[in-house]
Amino acid sequence: MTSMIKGALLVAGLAAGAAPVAMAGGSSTPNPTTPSTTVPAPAPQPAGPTTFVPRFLSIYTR
Amino acid sequence: MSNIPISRTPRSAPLAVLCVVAFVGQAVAQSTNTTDLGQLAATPERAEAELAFPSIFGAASAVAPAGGTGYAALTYATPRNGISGSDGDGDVAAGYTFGNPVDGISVSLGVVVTGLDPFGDSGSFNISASRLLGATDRSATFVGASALGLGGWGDATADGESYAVYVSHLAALGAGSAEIPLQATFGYGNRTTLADDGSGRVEDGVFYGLGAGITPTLSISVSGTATQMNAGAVLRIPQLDGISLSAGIFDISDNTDRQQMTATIAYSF
Repeated sequence: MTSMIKGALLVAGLAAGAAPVAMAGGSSTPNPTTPSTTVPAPAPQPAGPTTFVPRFLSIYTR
Repeated sequence: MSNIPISRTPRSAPLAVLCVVAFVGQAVAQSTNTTDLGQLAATPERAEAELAFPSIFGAASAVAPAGGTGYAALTYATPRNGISGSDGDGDVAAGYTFGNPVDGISVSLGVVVTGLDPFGDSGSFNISASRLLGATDRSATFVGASALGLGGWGDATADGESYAVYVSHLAALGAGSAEIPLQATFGYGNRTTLADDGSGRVEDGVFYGLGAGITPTLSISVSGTATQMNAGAVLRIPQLDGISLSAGIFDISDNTDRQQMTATIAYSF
């Protein structure tokens, strides 16, 4: 997998966390159902899987 | 920050802004698809299949970040605390994750500074942990727990600590030669549900969320509790490495009298 792909997945992982960050318990937000600030930051393996779930899980196998 | 009343925000304004964000997101995504596909085209299958990660706005996810990663984010929310007539306000958040949810446990530590004027006069820390329960070629299930409002200072001390446990599931829906990434989350927390009498009182209860990646750069989602429903979108900017934008509306129907719009810019490293 090229470094460009890696970068793209890294940003995709950031997107996963952006919304939770938006309501991470701040006093300016009304909804307290915001426990985590999940920011997956993928680091995919070369020649990784081509379907969504295995591809995403590859971020944990550095 | 002060809570100075200003003119009442029209109820249709947040929805209009969200629609604009979604349309802009689509436009950006379409304008950058060529670049994306070029970047992603290690194989033809990837070029056709990869849509955005299915983020969820308004509910916690147990899908863990990769260890050794961090983030910083700036959020603007209006009206403050969802109280009509109040001014807007901002939060700054930052955090770092370590551990691996597949082999062990992933732990994320974070801090939220609530209120930007004066900066730093209120805030708290948070911690979350998650683990992969199981996975197949088509789906994966994570379980997580978190604590918010830890070690609060300033106005944040009034919010107290909150805790939640939740399960999140990743899957993909086949759509011709492509697949649509989906995420569902469901959980329970001790301070999750706003009273629907307009008092702002918070009680324990369940929460849920469902997200879908609909373009290579845009995902949309809905979430809610027993008394409110939220909707949002997350957009990544291919040209700006590590940057993403999100926007959403809490309590779409204003059932709790705390409707609020938020927008966030985040940086991952």
